[in-house]
Amino acid sequence: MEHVATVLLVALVLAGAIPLLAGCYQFVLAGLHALRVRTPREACFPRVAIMIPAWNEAAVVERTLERLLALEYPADRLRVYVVDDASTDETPEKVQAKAALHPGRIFHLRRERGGEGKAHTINHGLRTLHAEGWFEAVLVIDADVIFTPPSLRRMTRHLADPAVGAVTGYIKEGSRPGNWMNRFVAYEYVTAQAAARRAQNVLGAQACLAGGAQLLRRESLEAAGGVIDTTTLAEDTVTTLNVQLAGKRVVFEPYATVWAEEPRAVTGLWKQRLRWGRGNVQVTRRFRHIWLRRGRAGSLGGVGFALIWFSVFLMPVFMLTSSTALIGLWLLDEERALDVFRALWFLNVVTYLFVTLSSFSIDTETARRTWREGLLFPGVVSLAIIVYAAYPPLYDETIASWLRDAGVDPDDGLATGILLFTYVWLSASMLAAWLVKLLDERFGRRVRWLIAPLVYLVGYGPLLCAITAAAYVKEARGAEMRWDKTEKTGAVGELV
Amino acid sequence: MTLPDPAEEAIAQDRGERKLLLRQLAVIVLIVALVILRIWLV
Repeated sequence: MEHVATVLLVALVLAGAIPLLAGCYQFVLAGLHALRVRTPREACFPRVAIMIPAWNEAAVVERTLERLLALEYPADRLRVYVVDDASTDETPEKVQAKAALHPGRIFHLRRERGGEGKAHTINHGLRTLHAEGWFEAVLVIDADVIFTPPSLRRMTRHLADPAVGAVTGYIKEGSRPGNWMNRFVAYEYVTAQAAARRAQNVLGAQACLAGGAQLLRRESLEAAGGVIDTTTLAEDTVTTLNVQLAGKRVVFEPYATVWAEEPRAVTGLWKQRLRWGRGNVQVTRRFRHIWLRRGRAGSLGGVGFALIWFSVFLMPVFMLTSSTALIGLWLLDEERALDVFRALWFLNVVTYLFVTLSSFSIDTETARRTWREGLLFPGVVSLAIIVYAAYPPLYDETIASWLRDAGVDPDDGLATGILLFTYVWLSASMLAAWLVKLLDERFGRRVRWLIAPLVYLVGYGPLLCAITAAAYVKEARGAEMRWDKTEKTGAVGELV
Repeated sequence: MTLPDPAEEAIAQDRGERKLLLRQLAVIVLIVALVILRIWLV
């Protein structure tokens, strides 16, 4: 009986390796992008309607419009529609002034009754577009993003292939001046966009068109119902999956750079990512018929795509399972627990090195700005465990000898205490991240100086995991679906 | 508006992707070397 329990517990501890293996798999695929994906050689300029859902975007909308008019794209094949969701600031006046300066190129569409969220706002605009019938493709963007001049034409060239239904670009964090949180997000986007979306190009299945840069072929939009889903918090993911289920490909264009302003504090990040996390729970449930069913869903139903999707979606479950089982194993067999812990964390060392160094090599410009955040992404505590796992004699011999010299006996309960702490850290880090968020939320102004060091200590990765866990809880409780808009200040610019 | 030749631009981008692959291969070689070193040391 004990033998069975031990085997079961070892297996559960090693479940913590699944997200690590999925991470490595993703980065290997990202490397294969060079061999498997060929950039189209021909230009393609369909009539594109750019759709900007906007609610109280006076701080950013003028600059966004100016940048869109400067796109390297034939002027007679590009129109910009700002769908003003009953803004109460100066958004309407600013858009109307721009529309008067550029008649036939900029249009102001007003919803008198707003507040229903981004998807409803987009649909208001889409109804106008369908009625006009001019557009061949629609580009849905956020009001604050900056499209670099070649970005749109680099995206539209994929539409020369009739099998492609939608294209997305590379969203980069561009807050200026950026703070520590912006640098974490910038590094995260290298892994979650530049690398992950290249990997998904290779797999032939994209999880999500970036909300700030969704180019949809008209036929694909119509095949997916002609409007955007309004029943989930992840309308962009639903569109992406529906386009692919209708038989068209969705493509990531890594050289279409789009700069975006992202949250500058833990509370803002938590609010934004909780919405994304809840959206992912809803999408996972709604599309339950496609997971691991290649016959029904093509590449979306493949094992590779499921591994990538669920390793992120179930990350908190893997972490909790792994550390709980490790404690159980320690109670049964201390020696074996230590062996399994070392094996798991050694895999962590290899994954950390591979993912971090690969991320730096994928986007060297961002790496120069964010290398500290890249190295400290898992947090100082996890990094210390990684260093220990990489070279155990560092503690077993060197540090233990220092402690003895200082009159502390490392074998007198201290080693066991540290060991148990490291065993539970995978789960405890999420709790610690949640406490940091509470601190920021309740006492943000008074303890702002403390928040950044705490996030570096606990880790940005565990913070994202904690948000995913919070999303499960919110969804399980059936919490109200509110579109909490991320505050934008217009402090965004091209950084390279 | 003068735009770059799309074919030339695409070829340059594919070259960039191949450089990325080479850098990643270098990362893999480095990690394998570190793992061997670790096994040798411990």
